[in-house]
Amino acid sequence: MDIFAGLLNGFLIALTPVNLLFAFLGAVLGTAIGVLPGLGPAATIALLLPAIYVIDSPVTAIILMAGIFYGSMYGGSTTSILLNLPGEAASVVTCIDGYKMAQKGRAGAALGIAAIGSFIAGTVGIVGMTLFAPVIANFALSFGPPEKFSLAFVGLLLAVTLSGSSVVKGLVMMTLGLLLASVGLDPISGKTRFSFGVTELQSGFDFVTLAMGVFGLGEIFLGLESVIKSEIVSTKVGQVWPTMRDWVASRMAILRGTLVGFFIGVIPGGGAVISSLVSYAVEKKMSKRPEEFGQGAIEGVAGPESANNAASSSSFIPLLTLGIPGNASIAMIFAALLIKGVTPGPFLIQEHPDVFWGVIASMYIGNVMLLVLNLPLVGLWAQLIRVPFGIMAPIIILFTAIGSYSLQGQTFDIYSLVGFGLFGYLLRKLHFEPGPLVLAFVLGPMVEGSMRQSLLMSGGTFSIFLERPISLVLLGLFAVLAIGQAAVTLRKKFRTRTNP
Amino acid sequence: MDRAERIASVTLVAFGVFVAYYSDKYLKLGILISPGAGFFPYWIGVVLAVLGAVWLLNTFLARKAPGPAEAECGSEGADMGGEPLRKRVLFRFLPGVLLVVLYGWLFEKAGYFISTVLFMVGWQKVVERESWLKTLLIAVLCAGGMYALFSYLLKGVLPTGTWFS
Amino acid sequence: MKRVIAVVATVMFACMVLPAVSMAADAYPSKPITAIVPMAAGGSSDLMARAIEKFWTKYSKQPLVVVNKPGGGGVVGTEAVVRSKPDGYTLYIGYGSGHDVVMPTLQKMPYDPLKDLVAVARVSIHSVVIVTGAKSPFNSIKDVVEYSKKEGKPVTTAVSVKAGAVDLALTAFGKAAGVNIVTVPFSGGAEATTALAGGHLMIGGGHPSEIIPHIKAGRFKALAVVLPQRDPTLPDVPTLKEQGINVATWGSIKGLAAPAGTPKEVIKYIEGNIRKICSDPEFKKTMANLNQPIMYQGSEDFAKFMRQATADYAKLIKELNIKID
Repeated sequence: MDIFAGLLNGFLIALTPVNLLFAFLGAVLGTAIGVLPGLGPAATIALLLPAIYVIDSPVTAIILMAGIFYGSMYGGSTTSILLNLPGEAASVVTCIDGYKMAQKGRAGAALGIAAIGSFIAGTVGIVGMTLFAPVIANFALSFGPPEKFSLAFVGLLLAVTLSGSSVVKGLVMMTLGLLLASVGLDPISGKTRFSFGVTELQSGFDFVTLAMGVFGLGEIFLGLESVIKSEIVSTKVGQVWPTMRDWVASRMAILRGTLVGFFIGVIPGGGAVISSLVSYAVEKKMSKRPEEFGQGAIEGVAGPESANNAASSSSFIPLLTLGIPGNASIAMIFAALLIKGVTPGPFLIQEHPDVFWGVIASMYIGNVMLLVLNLPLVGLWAQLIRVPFGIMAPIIILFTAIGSYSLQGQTFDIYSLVGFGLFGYLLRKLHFEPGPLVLAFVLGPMVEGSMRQSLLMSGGTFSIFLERPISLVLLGLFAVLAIGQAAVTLRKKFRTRTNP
Repeated sequence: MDRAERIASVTLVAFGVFVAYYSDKYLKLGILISPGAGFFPYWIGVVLAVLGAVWLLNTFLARKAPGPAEAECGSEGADMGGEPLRKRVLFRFLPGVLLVVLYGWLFEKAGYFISTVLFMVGWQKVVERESWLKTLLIAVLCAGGMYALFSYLLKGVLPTGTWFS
Repeated sequence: MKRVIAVVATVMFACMVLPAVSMAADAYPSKPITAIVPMAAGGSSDLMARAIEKFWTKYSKQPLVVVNKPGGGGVVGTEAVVRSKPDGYTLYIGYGSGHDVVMPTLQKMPYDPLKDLVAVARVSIHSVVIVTGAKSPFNSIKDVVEYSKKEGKPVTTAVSVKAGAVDLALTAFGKAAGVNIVTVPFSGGAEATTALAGGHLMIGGGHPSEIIPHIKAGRFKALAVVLPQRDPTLPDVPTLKEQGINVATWGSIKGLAAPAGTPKEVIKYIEGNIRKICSDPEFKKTMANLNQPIMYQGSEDFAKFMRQATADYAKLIKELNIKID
């Protein structure tokens, strides 16, 4: 079917009042759950499935679910910037510079550029989807265990670069994150690790509890110990909107982030997180003022935010073209579609062109809706910063505690939250950055699992990582960059030593 | 600050050794063709121990070049002398942490509404030293608001209190 | 002003607390029922559960809510059901999967699937199908056996979980046919089939539900089905026995279970509902679309079948001396 004819037909379907309503509902609901810790898009879609079955048209159903999915991406960035609470793994990187900007009174600018960047990235991503879906899909398939390992491994090392000054401390964080990830059942051998007899530890720690604890509660505990009663509140509200300078600085970051996110996001498993990491690293490298990163560089928000939104668009590609779900939320959408009698896969375009094009068209519309929804709210959100610490802090604690509890209905999760909070407090006192810890926690299973699978495949030789082209390219690229970076740093050190 | 870092780095080395030991003894290391459950954690333990040692070394090296690190440490939390720090810790930090722990303990027993109210009351009174009026107002508004918000979304999940059923 | 606030607060208090206290004992079911699927969303068990979830409300006032609790090859979620209150409000969908009938013989488990759970109803059987990539040189099981004998190199095999039904079926095949099979476990059927579709492994095992879409798309070739007879969803695929290898398993059985101690009336109610759902023509259509055969069995028959299946697997494991460390 001709692409433009299909797309036109899709828009006709997407612009019906019912579908518009559901797109809006999805976007609002998605944003709301993105802001609330604990409840993620996958869980929400699961909860709503019985209602979704009742909806007659599969197009409407998937429009609603897609709206929830990328709406939550927008919502997650909001809490990352304002409260240093990453809604999901892909927003962790945004916390780093986003929160610093908020502390400096530039929350509005950060939120604004995040919204705009996300919109541009999402739109471009959808265009890419429309034009290149089958090609990209096959690219995704070519990522087997060795390639996934190399990608995740590079992601890990990039996470260390987020640590700012001390590489050693960054490595410690990363390693600890990997260790935390290995608590629980090991899927490859079936053994439980590090549970020490505690039943609740058998399934390991949850990302939400860890991230909320280390980032959110850690910050609050630190605030409790400091002099000013309202440490989190910045004294000046500052510019509410991004300035022209911000915009100029972020243009390229958004573009680069989009590209990174689009390609890496297709890969099932860790696409969005890794793409935000890569984008941050790229921006830091490309920037003329890399010292600003970690202190509130707007590119450090624009890039990763665009990346993770492009990634969420492209994560639909394997679903729609191959019938392969890439992450938990997409898996839910996959299940819902199958139950409704629509089989996502290569035949989707032929058998149900209205579903395929209708969804794509509604994603364009959904992105616009989210922009329209979020931009005016930026001003409102920025005012949230003014709420005194004495009220904000306990509310954050309550939200995160309830959110953690709701994951499995276990009090243990609230205790772990506090534990991680204290841990996060300690980390800050000892000048550690929690970012690499949390990111390594997310990437750990992928790194370890893929490595072991690859070794099984290769019969125990590590050469498999270098024999396969994609893996070799990834590792090679990283090695080149790392060596280059190390050379530059060593030269600087050498120079300062010889010139006292 | 240096002392804190030294203690921490030594702890890290010890921890790393422990992890490596535990992985070796209790989880199998396996052979290279099929690494066992302990393979990854073992190396994590080793790396942690090594990094801990490097960190420890760095604390000695940094001392020789008094730079920003030391100045930072100096101003950390002790800007008004030692006394206010003790006070802050005792009256804000500890109660805050304890309140959350208490919240967790009460959550299933007293139901989430009561726990939330008590938490807010406790926080406002003890940590923030607000008046009773403001305290109750904030507590009820917050708990009520959150009840409305969460009940709708998380219907079956929030406990109503084992003390009452 | 203070007093007004105090009164308002007390009234709000009361409103929140009283409903909890006055929860009368209504007839079952008086609130939504949670059905735990201990596997990842989008997998064959999950899809079946969602189909049941959809049709449940046709036959019951209270909805069935499916919750995914993957982990440990199915053990985490199942254990959650085992430890829950046997009041009929927490059920397990997927009973009879690898971790229920295969794993107990091979590994120590924190519970006994036959004693700690009560079989409520069987819904389907997901057989194990051995497939290979479309571009692979293998066209039949014989090709695989010959390759192994000639080249002497191991055959990499994608399986969904360690010590699950698929893993066992392929390991058994390897042992019986003298093929050096190296099973590479993934976190669920979807991930395993994706890796296989990418051509990263030589052969793989999966359920018809996961495999058939890829076969239709021309990405997979089915080599054999590991059932005693041919699978109704893949009538053209010969069994292993037909191809000369004396290995047959029940695959992954999918039914419902409740924690031991659940009252008989509750079990009868759920069993009855499932029977009605399985006879529903719309449900049949949905399941056909999912490539999952409907094979209903009532509570008692299912319990017997489960014991039989576990024994069959145990026998196979012993005969072929299969060990998974």
